[in-house]
Amino acid sequence: MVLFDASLFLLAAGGILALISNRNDRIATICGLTGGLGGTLCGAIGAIRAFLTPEIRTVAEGAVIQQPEMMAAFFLMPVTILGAFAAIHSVGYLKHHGHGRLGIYWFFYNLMIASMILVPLSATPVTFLFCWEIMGLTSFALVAYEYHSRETMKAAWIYLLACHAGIAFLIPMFMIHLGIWQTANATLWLFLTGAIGFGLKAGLPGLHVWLPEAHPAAPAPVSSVMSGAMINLGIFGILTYAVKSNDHFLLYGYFLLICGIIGAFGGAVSAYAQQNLKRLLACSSVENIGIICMGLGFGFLGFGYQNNFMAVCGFTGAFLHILNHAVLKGTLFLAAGEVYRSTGTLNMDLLGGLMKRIPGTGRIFTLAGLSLSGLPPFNAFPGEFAIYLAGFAGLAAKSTLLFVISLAGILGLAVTGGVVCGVFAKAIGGTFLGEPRSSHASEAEKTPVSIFGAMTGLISLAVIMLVATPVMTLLLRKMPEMFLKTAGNEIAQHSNHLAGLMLKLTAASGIVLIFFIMIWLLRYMLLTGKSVEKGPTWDCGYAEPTARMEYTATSFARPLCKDINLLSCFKKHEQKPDGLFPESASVTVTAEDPATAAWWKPLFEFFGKIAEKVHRLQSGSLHWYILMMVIAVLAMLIWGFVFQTDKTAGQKDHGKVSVKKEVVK
Amino acid sequence: MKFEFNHSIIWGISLLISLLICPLLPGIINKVKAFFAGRRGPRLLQLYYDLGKLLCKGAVFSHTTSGVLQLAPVVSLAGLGGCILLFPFGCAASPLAFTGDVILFAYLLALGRVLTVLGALDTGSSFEGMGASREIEFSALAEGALFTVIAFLILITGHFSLSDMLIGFETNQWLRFCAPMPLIFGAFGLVLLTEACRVPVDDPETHLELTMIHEAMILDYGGPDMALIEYGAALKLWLLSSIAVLLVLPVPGSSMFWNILLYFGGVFLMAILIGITESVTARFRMLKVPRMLTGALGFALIAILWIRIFRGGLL
Repeated sequence: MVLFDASLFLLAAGGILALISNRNDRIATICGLTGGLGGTLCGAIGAIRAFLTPEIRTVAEGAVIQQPEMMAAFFLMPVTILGAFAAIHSVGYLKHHGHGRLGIYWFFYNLMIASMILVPLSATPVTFLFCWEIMGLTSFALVAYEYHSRETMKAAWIYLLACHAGIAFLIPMFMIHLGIWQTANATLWLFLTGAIGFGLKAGLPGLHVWLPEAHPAAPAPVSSVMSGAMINLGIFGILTYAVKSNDHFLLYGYFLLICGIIGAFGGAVSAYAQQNLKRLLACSSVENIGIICMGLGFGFLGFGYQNNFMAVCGFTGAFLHILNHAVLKGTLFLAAGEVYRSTGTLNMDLLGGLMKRIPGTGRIFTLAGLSLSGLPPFNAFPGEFAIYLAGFAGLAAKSTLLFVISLAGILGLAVTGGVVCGVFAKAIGGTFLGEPRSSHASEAEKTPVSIFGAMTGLISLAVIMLVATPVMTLLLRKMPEMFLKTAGNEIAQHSNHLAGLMLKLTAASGIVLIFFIMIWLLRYMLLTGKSVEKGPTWDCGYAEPTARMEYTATSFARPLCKDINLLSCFKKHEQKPDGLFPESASVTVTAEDPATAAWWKPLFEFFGKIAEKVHRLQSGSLHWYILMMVIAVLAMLIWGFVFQTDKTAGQKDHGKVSVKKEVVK
Repeated sequence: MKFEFNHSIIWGISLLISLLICPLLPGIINKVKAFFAGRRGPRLLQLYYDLGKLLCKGAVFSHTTSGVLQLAPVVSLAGLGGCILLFPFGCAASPLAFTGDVILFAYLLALGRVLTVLGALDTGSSFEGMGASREIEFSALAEGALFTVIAFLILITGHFSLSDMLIGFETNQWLRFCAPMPLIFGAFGLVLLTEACRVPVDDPETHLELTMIHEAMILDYGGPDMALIEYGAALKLWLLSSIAVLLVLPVPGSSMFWNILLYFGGVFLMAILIGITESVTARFRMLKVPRMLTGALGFALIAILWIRIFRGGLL
């Protein structure tokens, strides 16, 4: 606990000192960075220690924050580790834009990390809600950091609305949780309110409105932390507060699995259609949260149908994927930030050829992108592998419903996997390969040391995690047990089995690597002594193709988007060549978010209409206001009178009736 | 499946033979096509000569490329190297098989594909971009059908590893489940034709870059890199044909000799079958391919529901 106290103190002190020294960029950066780094490092050590030794746990009576249990410690790890690397990245990222406002940035950044550490540490619902709110507000301030842009402010407002819509569901959830609000079917309502409230943060499908808006708008280090760590806290909330009883596993399982399938597939397809690199990554976060939910869903279904192997595979897969996604998506956002910093644009149709101009970033992005596609010798594969195994186990089950949903899960995961390969092929190809498509890309600036260091650190961590996958599988074996009242021997056994499989996967990665080295050496030997020349790209008889002839990212993605046009969200606007001497013609394809189009837009337009009508009351005439006050006072008097008599009558005669009436009201 | 020394030796020998003779498959296909067209066609060993010639050559790389181009064939072949270690060659279970290796198998194939796509995008050529885009489109759709076929195999064998899945069911069991087999074979056949870039989906011998898929992506390769790609394509065709063969073959019998004979005979028969298919059909319009792949998915789903509902076969 001392470590966490130190961490929070350092973060707060760093943030406040940075704010005070806002005038001087250098001092503000030094204060903020020292505080941020020190705080996150202390937090990381504390989180890892708490994760490894969950037994040492003292809960003081009446404390507002507590030593984290295993689940909380698990979710603290991405927060602290990503927080540290993103802080280093911020130094380089903000060097050129954000003069005179660095202190403000560091203040909010440190406060955001501190509140994200506090969320899992909270011991009481009130503390939790308080920290959750601070987390939302500080991140709102950071999303709105480039406030002079209209786009950014729109994104920030959407984010703020999403945060508060979430709180609106979380408050009733905690009322049910604490027993203040008693209903029949309390577990169901607890779960539904929790899933919606936390799902708005995590980006469950349909509730993900803010992700594709806020992630591109925020500074890259902030979107990295938000995407890698903050949305996971939504999952943490669901697992800790919304999931309560021992016997509703089927409800949780089916809900999360269906959400997961829709989110994974929808997220992947909409990511494939994006033009903006960071928006693509944000949609890919929706997809990854979907995969995580699928894992959790399979896990709960496994418990529900007493199939422990399935449960262990599902949960382990989900938790592995949470860690891998945090590190990889963090890296990808940092790299995308570097693309933005050096070129000034995120539009993939204007980029290209950056592999030669910022090679370090290009290589790291390629590696992280291939990893997050779930391709075998890399990171995200073990997690998806475990989730597939859970699905396979469900296929063989007796229950027809479980069979159908498992088949849907496997199919969803497979097609998602195929589309995600396309997503990252598009992102890597459009941004880093080929010829630069505009002067933005051809005049890219060099990468500063701090940015390169942060990205290299994170990707090295990913490599370490890949090698350590079997060990991590073993360490994660206690997590599924937390949902069961009784710890079973069987679960440990299945975990050991799964860890053995992971060891084989790691070995297979090693074998593929050895094959790679051997073939590369063979190729090298074959080419030595022969002529290896440079020439133009062979474009079918037309030498020297220009960048304008290249396939752009959008045209690359178009065929598949046309095949899978979910809810017709891809709109094509074309101006056809006209007349004998056509002058201008253009085609643009935009991808509108189906959830936004289907209900968020109508919902907010509805609220807007109501607000306009209410606005008429504010006429500016004093007489009118006085009349309204009189009406209000009268109404309150009448209401109070009726209510009061009712209640006293109830209390005097038979208490039970009044309680029932209250519930009805 | 128990580890048996004899089996491993059989597996190893079959593996080596397969590695050696896999470039024969395109030769056989071409011979069949030539027969149908009334020509003599290229030699049966043509690919060996091509490979030998390419391996002795130097290379030319585009100014535009950045190394991904050179990495791609090597990674693809390394991924295939991982695949062959999991595959039950000669109807003998791979000694390296483990639970769930079928996922690794499918994803290693995907790795090669993605790297090829990146290599194509690295050149900045419009035709290669076009090929890459189509490759992603079709393979993403084929993935669904492929995993449904895998789910079918899991359902009837109860095993999660490729070896046990493909050779783990006996003749009795096979007869019991064989009624939807043609559907599954059809579905996998379409996946095979897509993944191996054969005719109704892609024409490896077309002369127009606009209509190519796989060939368009490798326009900028030459020398040893091209040899690696050609050999990788032949090996992939061999692996996929073997899966198709093992899918329909009621194996393994008790005699290993027969097993091996059936396996190799089956693969060559499969090559002839592909040749016939290529001879009697024309390449589809690009817009038709997604529908065909959805059809494959439909076949596989019907088969799987059939098994689930009727448990039905002949016995």
